[in-house]
Amino acid sequence: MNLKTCALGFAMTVTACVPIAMAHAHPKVMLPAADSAGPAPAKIVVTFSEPVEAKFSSLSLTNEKGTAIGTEKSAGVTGDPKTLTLAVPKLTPGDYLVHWVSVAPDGHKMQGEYKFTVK
Amino acid sequence: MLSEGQLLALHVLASGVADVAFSLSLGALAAFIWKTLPATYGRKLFVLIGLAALLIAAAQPVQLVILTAGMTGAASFSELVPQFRDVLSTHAGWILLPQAIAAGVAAAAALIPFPRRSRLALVAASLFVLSLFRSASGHAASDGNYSLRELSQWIHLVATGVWAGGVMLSAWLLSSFADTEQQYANGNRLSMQSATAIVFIFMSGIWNTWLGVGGDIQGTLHTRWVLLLAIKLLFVLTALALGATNRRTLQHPPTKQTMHRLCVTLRVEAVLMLVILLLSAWLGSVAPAA
Repeated sequence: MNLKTCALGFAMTVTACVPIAMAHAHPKVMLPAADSAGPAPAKIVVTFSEPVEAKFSSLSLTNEKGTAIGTEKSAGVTGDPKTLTLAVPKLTPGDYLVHWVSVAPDGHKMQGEYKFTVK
Repeated sequence: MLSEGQLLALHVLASGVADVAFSLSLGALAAFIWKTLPATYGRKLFVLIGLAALLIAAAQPVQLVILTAGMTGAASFSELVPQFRDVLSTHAGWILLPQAIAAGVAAAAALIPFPRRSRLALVAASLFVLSLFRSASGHAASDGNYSLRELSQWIHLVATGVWAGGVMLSAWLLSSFADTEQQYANGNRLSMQSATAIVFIFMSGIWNTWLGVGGDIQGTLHTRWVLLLAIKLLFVLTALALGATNRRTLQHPPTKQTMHRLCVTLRVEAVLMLVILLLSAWLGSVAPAA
């Protein structure tokens, strides 16, 4: 076996081993965008990289002190299994944190948060 | 109830056991096609398939409990039970049910004695159904039902099962033969089967990567996931190297010494397969960014 054959075999093995865990739903498009500054939004919209189980996935909003904002619960969007929305009350200027939880169709859960600023 | 780490360990263990059992059942089913096995081994193979299928069926309720705990974050078993209904309405939840049924049918068909041909047909059909639902239960589910990704995952799953199961089964089979000619004939069958399976593993693996990664692997580097992947890769390469050694051994006329060497190498390869299947279960449970 020469070096070229070994290298090709190695590359093929790497490739064949990779695909197992590429699908976990993480935020892909966020409105307002992460770390952005702008006018107060009427709702938070997050589109994930994969479809999410709306029943077990959620969005919530807190201010910079960690106090929950609003009483609405997030919901899925009919016809778009990748997107969740959260209606929010009128936001005053300041920093806000969006906390997200996603459960992908394979049952895997991910969570995180991102910040945006209302001017 | 259980910490996140404990839940992960349980999930890996349950999926790993189910993966090993699934591979063994496919390996045993494939051995029926070899036609080089003594007739007395038919009953043993059926018992092996039956026990493996029972393990797979038993793993499904365990998976449901782990899945529910992971999805809901329930703190106790009493909090968990009312959530089962909601979890069973999700893709990951409901797909456990047909897997349990298919595995149960495979176990019954393999363990209840009735005409061999009908038994084999029923075992093959139920394992086929089981494989379809297993391939739709993992990450491939993200593209929806009946997707190309699920088809590719199905090929990958079955080929991996045939390779790993064939090796694990042969490690036991070949050592149990006293006749070197018999070891040689079955060793050659295994070698041919493994080589074919590996071609399908690579082809479906490359296709899966193209569909799943889309060239974006940058964000996953320097993570625990990539470390696990590297470890798995090391074991896969070692198994491939051992397989190549066996193939070379089988190119020479059989002697007691060469067949003994083949059996020893196969046992090491079987252990490697166990580790690879467990690592695959672990990788399948961890997010790339973790």
